[in-house]
Formats: sequence, C-alpha cells, structure tokens
Amino acid sequence: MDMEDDTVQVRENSAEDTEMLELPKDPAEVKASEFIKGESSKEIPVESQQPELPENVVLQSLEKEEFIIKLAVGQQSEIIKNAILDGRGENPVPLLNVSAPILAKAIEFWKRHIDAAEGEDLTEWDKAFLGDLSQEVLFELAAAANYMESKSLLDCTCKFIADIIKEMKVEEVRDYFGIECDFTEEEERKMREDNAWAFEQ
Amino acid sequence: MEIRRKRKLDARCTIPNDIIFDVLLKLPVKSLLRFKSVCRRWFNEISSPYFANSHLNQGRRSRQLLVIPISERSPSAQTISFYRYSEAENVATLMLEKELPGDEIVHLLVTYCDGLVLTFSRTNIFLCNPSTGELLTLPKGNPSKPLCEWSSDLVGFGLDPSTKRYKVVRMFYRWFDFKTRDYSIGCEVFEVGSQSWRSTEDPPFPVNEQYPVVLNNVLHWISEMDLCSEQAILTFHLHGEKFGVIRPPPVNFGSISVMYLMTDGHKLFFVEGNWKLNLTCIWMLKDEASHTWVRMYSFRKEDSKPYIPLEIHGGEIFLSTTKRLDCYDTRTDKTRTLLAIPKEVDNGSPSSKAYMGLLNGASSFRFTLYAESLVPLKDI
Repeated sequence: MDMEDDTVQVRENSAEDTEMLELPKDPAEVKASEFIKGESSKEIPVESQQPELPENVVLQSLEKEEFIIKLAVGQQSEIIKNAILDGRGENPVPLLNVSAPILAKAIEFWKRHIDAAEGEDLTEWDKAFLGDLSQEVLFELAAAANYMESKSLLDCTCKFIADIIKEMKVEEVRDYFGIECDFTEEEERKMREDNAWAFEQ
Repeated sequence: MEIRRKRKLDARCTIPNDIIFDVLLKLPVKSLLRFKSVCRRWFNEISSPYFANSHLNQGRRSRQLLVIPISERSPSAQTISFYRYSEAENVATLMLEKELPGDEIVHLLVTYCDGLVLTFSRTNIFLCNPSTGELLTLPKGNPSKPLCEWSSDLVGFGLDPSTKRYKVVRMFYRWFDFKTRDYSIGCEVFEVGSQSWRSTEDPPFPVNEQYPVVLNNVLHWISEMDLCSEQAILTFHLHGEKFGVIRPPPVNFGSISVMYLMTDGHKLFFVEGNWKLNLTCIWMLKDEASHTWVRMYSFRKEDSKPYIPLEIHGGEIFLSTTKRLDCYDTRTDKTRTLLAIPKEVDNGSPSSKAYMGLLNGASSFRFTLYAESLVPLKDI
C-alpha cells in the first residue's frame, strides 16, 4: 500500500460526472461528488468557525489499529465524511465494525479511485482487486462498505458478487451463501415449472 | 469460478441481508426469476413491488436496446422475437420468442414503458414483458374508423403513480370528415389487471399516429395536422385521466416534413424535421406552466434520409429508420451507426460493427431503448 502521495487529488468534472448530473440522484450522491470537486459547499452546515478542513484523517479499526489517510480518500465514505464535518477529523474516527485488514483493503480501493486519471476506466483494476480476495474477505468488504456508507465500494463489491452468482444454479447459490432451503419439494417443483425458461441454459 | 465450501454457522462467512438486496438489484431478470427458488426470504424479496421498482430504476441507468426483427418472407408471421442488444459488448441475445394469438397480419408497431412493450396488429393490442415472457392480449375496445388504409391504433400506455397500475389509453374515431375538418373522437382506458375498457372524457382534438411520449406519468401526443387547423400538444394525465393542452414551439408548420416528441426522462422535446433542407431542429419545453420552449439543437445529418428520433440521453440522440439505428452526438456533431440491416452497412459508413447475424433475414426492424422489468402483467 503506497502512502507517499502528498497532494490531495481532487477530481474535476470528468465525463462520468457530467453523465451523472443528468440522472435523478439522491441527495447524498450529489453532496459527495460536489465535495470531492473541492468546492466549499454552501449546503453543509458548519457549526464551528473553522474554515479549514484537516489534511489528514485518522481511522480506527475494530482492534483500535489506526490508519492515516488523506481527506479526499476518506470522503468516499459518508461516515468518515460526516465525522470530518462535525469537526472530529483530527481525532480518530472509530469504525468499530470494521477489522483492520478489511479497512486496509477499503483504503486501497478508495486510494486507487481517487488517484484515477480523468476518464480512466477502472473496471479491470476493480475486477482484479476483488478477484484476489477470498469469499470471506469479499463478503466482509461488502459489509464494511455498507456500514461505512461508501457507495462506490458497495456498488463495486455487489456487482462483483452478482456477476459470480449470475449464471449459477439454485443449489450452487444456496451453497455459496450458506442458505438452507425452506421450501418443500413440491413447492420447488412448482416454481421451476412456472418459470421454466429461466432455468434453461 | 471456484465455489468454496462454506463453514456452516460461521458468522464471518454470512452476508448481511442489506447486501443481498443490493446484489439482487444487479442481477438480470432471468437469474432473479430462477433465484426466487433459493429460499423463502429471497422469494419474498424478489416478488415485492418495492424490489421490482428499485430494479427497474437501476436498469434505467444502463441503456440497452430492444430489437425486433421483421422478416418480409413471412408477412403473416405470428411470432414476435425480442432481442436484447448491448452496444458495449456488440452482442445481441434472443430474449424471447412469442407467438401472438390470432391469425391477422402483425403490424408490429411498438411502444414501450418501464420494461413493458405495447405492440399491436390490425385487430389486437398486446402488452408484453420481454424479460419475464408474459404476454397479455387486451380485450377489444370501441371500434374506430381508420383515417386511411394503413392507419394504426392511437394507443399509449404508462403508469398511474398513485394506484401503481399500468394503463393503456386508446383513442378512437366515431366518425370524421376531412373536408369540413369535423370529427367525433372518444377515448378509453384499460387498466392492467382489470377485465375491460373504461370510457374517459373525449379528447379536445385528434392526434397523429405516433406513439405518445410518457413523461412524469403524463402521455403527450401531437395533434393530427389533417384535422386540426392549429397544432398543439395533447396531454393526458394517467392519474386523473384528464386531457390538457400545451402550446407547441414557434415552428412553421407549413414547411416542416415531420414532427415528433421525445424525452430524456426529465424534459419534453419537440423535433421538427425538414427533409428537403436536411435540417432538424430540437426544442425543449423549458417551463410547462408558461409553455416556454427553447431551441436546443439544430443539425444536418450526414445522409439526408428521414428517420424517427427515439430518445435523447445526455446529449446523444438515437435516430432510427426501419433499417438502421444511429446515434447523433450533439457535442461532436458526429453520427455513428449502432445497428443496421447488412446491406445498409455497405454505404461506406465508418462503423460497420453494426452487422449482426440476427438481422440477416430481416427486412426491417423496430427498436426501443430498454430496461429490464419484473413487473407482472397478470396479478398486480
């Protein structure tokens, strides 16, 4: 994991952002992208008088291990972003549901995405990054993305999992997630009949 | 892909339910229908209207094309085939092949809303969900005098936002007279899930045969020039089932060849085409209350063949003829061909990746932009 970048990389209007502006967005999404552009947002209420935001953020994992990251990197998580805005950025942001190795992975993801050149397609990198992980870590990373409210990481991990299971048979899906079947044989048979074409290859 | 054996009852290997929902949202309909059998929780989740709605909204963001090839070899074809075409992968997959009941010649005009396709033949209207394979034949409505030999039904459909039911809206002529520009036109609504059509108030004026544009749960049509002395846009609110009128942009109706309505999901656009000059102008309805229009784009296409604008999305306009689908980029003033009947490709157009095996036997085809849908047609 490389920690030597000194400058905060801020993403300017990329083509992707312009595209995003056309779609109806939920308020949280708009706020995040505007924040990343580096504008001093008028919408976010600033309670204290301090005009400056800290350059670094300290994150604290479940085991109380600390990670120091740049502001822009941490903003990809709503929880971290809100902690910064509340003026708590200097103190460690506690992420008690996230273990250190998982947090490290999340940070690696955020850093790569923040460092991306304008219009750079990271799909291949994302696939390689997630493909390297065991199923256990993948699930934990998805759970962590959900807890830390990081849309980019959550979308990416969920899409990856969806692609894994997309073509699977029903039994394989149960196996993958460790789900017990609670249908009777009769019910299952009827469902297969009703949607026969969905079961074809 | 290797499937790892899970350790039973190991909390660290289980995935929270919130995540399951997000994962399911990213699956295609075919997988979802299959995965209803995984367990009761997944069955309930996938079958819920909330899920269907979220899935549809997510699908809207990744445009796909629905292609319906029409073969001249069998003009009385009763089968309609739906192909899904993804531009990014340049691959067309057959989604569904459906036999249409009845033995009339299939007209195959298509209009689309929320993953449902409305198609009609000479005597029947069908509603189809290509993702789930359901097809519904609508009951017969009031008879309509056709304006001319090749008239088609004046039909549109959309969602009533408060009852969450899809409604098909149909206008019919009781009679008309071109000479005196006199007519009697009625309107009826069929709610999906009900048994019959229901009359509504008469429209204030007749509309032309292009499928209406649905925006914000309101249908929009353009007036029928041959019967109306002044042109306007007719609106029909799907909830209150009431008609309204919008003044059109300041267009010279005497000199234009065609006019169409178009939407990008947020705003209404009016397209005026002049084939003689090969000029197209696109207006946007800036403010509905004051009927203020703004001219957004005007361009000349490289080839001057007429076309129908399908949709506008992020500065790109999809233009289709029955033989080709092009995409015009307003920012670069360049047109690229997405799909074409094979012999059309030999006109020297630069992007011939549009050639696809499926179009080999077809004489023409219909397109519509598409998002998958779990919306059921039967029990709502």
